[in-house]
Amino acid sequence: MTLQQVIFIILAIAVIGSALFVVTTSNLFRGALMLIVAFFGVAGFYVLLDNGLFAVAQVMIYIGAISILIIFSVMLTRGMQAMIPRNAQAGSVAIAAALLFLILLLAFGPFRLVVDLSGVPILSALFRTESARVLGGVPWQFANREVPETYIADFGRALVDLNQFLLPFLLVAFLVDAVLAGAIYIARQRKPAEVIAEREAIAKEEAEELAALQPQPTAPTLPQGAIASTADH
Amino acid sequence: MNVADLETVLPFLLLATGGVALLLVDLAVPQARKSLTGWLAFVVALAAGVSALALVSGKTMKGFAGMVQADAFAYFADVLLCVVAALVILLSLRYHTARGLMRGEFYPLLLLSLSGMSLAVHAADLLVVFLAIELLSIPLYVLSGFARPRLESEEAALKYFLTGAFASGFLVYGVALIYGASGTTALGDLRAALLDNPALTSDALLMAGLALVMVGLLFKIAAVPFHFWAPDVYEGAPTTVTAFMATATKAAAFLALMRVVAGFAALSPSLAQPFEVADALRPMLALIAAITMIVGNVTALAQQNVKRMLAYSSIAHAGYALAGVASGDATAVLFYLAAYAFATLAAFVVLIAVGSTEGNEDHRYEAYAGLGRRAPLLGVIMALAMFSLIGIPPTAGFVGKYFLFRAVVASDLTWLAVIGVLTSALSAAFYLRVLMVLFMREPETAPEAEPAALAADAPRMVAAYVSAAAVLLIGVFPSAVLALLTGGELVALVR
Amino acid sequence: MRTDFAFVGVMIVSAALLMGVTLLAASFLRPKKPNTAKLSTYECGMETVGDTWVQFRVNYYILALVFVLFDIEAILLFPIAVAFNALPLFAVLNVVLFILVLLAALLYAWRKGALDWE
Repeated sequence: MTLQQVIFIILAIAVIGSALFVVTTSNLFRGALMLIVAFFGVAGFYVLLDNGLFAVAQVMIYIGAISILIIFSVMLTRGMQAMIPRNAQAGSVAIAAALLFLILLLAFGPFRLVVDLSGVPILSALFRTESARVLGGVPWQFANREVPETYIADFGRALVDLNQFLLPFLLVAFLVDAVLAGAIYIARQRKPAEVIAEREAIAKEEAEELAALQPQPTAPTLPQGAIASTADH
Repeated sequence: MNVADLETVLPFLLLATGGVALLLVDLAVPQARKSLTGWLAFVVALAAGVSALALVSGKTMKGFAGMVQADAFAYFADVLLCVVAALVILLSLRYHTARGLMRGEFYPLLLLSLSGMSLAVHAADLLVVFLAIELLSIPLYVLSGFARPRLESEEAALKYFLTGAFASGFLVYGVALIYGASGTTALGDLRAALLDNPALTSDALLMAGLALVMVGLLFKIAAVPFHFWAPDVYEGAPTTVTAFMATATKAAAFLALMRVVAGFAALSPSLAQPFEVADALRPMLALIAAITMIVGNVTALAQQNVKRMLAYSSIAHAGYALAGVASGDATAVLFYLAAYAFATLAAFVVLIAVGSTEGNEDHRYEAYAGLGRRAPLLGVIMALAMFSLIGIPPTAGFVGKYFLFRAVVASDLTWLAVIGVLTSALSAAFYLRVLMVLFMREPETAPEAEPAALAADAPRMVAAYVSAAAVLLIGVFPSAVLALLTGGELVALVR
Repeated sequence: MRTDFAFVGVMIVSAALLMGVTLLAASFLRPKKPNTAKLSTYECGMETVGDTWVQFRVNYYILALVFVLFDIEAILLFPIAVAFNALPLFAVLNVVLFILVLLAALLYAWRKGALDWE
């Protein structure tokens, strides 16, 4: 086992362990802190993949900014400590996730498993050829490809190159605009006068809706003739 | 920058820059005159629509290193999206004032969402598909919560955001797996790679990626079983936003879906023009289409609320269009989506008229009792919309369904067409129920609004006339729309 | 490349060891005579009144959000800055366009009062 594999296993254990803690803990705040550990482990994976830029981006964006955002939003939540989130489906979801992981491992993992799918209705249509009866051993297109020394500059050039990623790059700017405008609209605190006016308008609407929902208290109806006759006298 | 590159995404550029500029312009517009922002957005949407109309030609062009494609389908969808958005803006002016929602952010966000839709229909690369879907979704999350702090609107936004973000995760994971398996995200290259290397067509990794991408896109069009968000979001969101979501989002997501499907066309051994569905995908698409048609129509039958019924109706119509996707006839699908969009918009005109006149959002069937006699114009528009949604001639819905089922039968999916016709017959029950309530039932309480007030708003009336006229004209002169759609020749969705 | 980051790894491990060993040694060496006053949260200071988990202002959230977005901008601009010497004018203009579009977002946030702290 190479040193790289040892480091990978250590990182994997750290990431999976902290991720499990995040989804199982009932304390949101601790979960948010443990999420940072998971993010850090992922940054380690990027280093192992020879992509230092993404590792730095991971630390800057996910740990430096998004974790802070998550922690702030946890602290924004009123009565966070009193809230004990429980999920009745946790057990079944855990089993489903484990099964899915097993399938992924068999399908994409390093093992070559021979399965005859010709009798299975949908799968046989999906995996028609002879070679498809073998699950696993996926021919990853970029496995073991060398990362050039100048990969950061290459990436930078690709971002603004018309023949490469210029459109997605500019698109990100518009996306960021939309996100910021939307988030400010949703989260901005309004001035007290605005809030009061809004609440009043809504209260009025709700009262109207409630009145519409409840059956009208109708007076016991007299026969038409009875009213007419009393009016006559 | 190459002019030809710009030309391929001109409507997108107009809408996106217009949206951002309007965001800033709106800062200077005083609160009392927010309709000015609305009119500016209207102009931008129309300009983008006109630019798309001017660019329509039979040619297929690629731009930005093959990331986007401009063809007759894309420009047709652009025109459709821009017209729908312009009509929604007209509808929103009065409605938002009446509901106390006249806030300037609505229009820039609408334009940004529209720009995402416009890019989604031009996308020829999975990367652009993902980013465009995000650009169209994120403003929509906010717009569905636009009536904050109304609880139902906030609930709609949260539900849409959580499920939508989850679906986006599927989409981007799928794109990553496809890239890992094939080494490309460009749909044209992917198709070529699949043709060159048949072993790739049964690659488990590629299949898993395709399945995940399909989940992400099927979520956006609200196909069963990814439809659970739709009724609540459609009901809780402001009615103008619901109208926009039910029509424009669906059309944009469908064209993106068809391009992805066409990118995988080489999975099929038999290649036919203009757009092929892989043999492996066809049963899946047909199955989802069938379930969507059945579930959408049967559930719509049980609704007590017109707005919610229209939400289920939009699910059901996604099923019809998906049947068209399974048949591989993009022209029929886009024609159907146009017919559906105008009919649904016409129905929403009535809902918005009620919402902005009576001041509350009571869309239960009882609330509509006798409306058709109080405001005959609204009644006639609703009748047109309902007839078109059922598929009764001479409305657009009939021609749309005719083309669609013909394509489905031609592609040996007769059983699917049978299900489609049967569910259409079933759908008459709840669509006609609306008309029955509108014209034949007496209101329980004296209506608050004067009949004149229902028809008072000029922009809304323009939107009403345009959508109603579109429903009729598409039904009577379908060939004009078809000419625009195909640009005179067959178009390959991905090349 | 990996060796560059090996230093980061060595740094993390040595930092953890330094802290761990110091604390462990201290726990062995120090006398242990706890009492209630010593164990209170603030040995010399005010006792807290009520729950310390108060609700934070929403401004924190918006500021953090603005920070996230411009963090993303920074990380996208960083590789371009590395390649800047070799970039054609066209590319530089696109970078300017990118920044201008983001500037619009900042202007909007500023004018909407999202950055105010009152």
